[in-house]
Amino acid sequence: MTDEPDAFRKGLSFAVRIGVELVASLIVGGGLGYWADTYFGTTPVLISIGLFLGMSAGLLNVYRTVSRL
Amino acid sequence: MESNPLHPFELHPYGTLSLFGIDISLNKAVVMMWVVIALASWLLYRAGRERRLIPTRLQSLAELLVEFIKGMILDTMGEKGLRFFPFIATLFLFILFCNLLGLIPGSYTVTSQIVVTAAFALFVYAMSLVVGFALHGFRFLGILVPGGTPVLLLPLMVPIEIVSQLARPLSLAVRLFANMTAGHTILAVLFGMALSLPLWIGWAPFVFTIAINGLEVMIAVIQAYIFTILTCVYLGDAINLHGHAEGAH
Repeated sequence: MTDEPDAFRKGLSFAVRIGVELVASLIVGGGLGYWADTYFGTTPVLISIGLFLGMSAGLLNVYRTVSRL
Repeated sequence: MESNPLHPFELHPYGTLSLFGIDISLNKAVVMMWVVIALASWLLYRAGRERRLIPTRLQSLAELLVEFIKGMILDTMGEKGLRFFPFIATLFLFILFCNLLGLIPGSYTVTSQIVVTAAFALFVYAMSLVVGFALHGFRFLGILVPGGTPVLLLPLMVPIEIVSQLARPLSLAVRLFANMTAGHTILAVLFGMALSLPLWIGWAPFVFTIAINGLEVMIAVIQAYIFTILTCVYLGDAINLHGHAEGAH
């Protein structure tokens, strides 16, 4: 774990992953909320919950990836 | 000279071809995938044909590659993951060759089409689900409950976990597609600048294209690596429920 190329590889893969990880959860959460809203006709409620869930999921993913390092 | 930097990503079928009403016309991407498959299998076949004790250059390269992929699997999935070695190695080689061959001018980067990356990502994710349910049955749903969650938090944590699970194939597909598309678009823009500017300043973007091309080679390798290691991680989550892989961290 301490040898140089391995640490470099891990750090690099970490850096490249994080950004998309955050945004993808947000998109999925928002998308699910939006779809459910148009389906049930409760427009502002479910998308807000969905976006909140998406943000939390994104942050949680990032936190997990960091603590896995 | 083409003014639209997104022009290289457009696909035009070579004539029309259909089988039982399904459109199977050939285009550059399809041909490029065949080239990738042919080249990768030919190289590895050449490398593994004669197993010498003192390896040839190609053979030692192939051995390095195999050791690298094996190390990746052991790191993320543990011993039990080794049965997925052929799948992981195929995936890695295919994406790597697609990315690298796409850098040759005039060829086509298959992985810059989101259809291709999404197909890969969905397949990988579906496979991890199938493996999880096959190994653990309905206990696999426990993946939605992170370890040590208080019961009061369950109504909050389970939806969050569902969203983060569903985000996996999306992030897998978008990452590879976006990186390849962005790199090639930058190259196209810089080349366009180099061609349309007068020579006394046009050399600057041209020099940049050379530097960016070097960067693109690195990105091609890294993105293939990331895609593969995330596949390993997802499959590993399915195999070792709650991450009790021996040797994993």
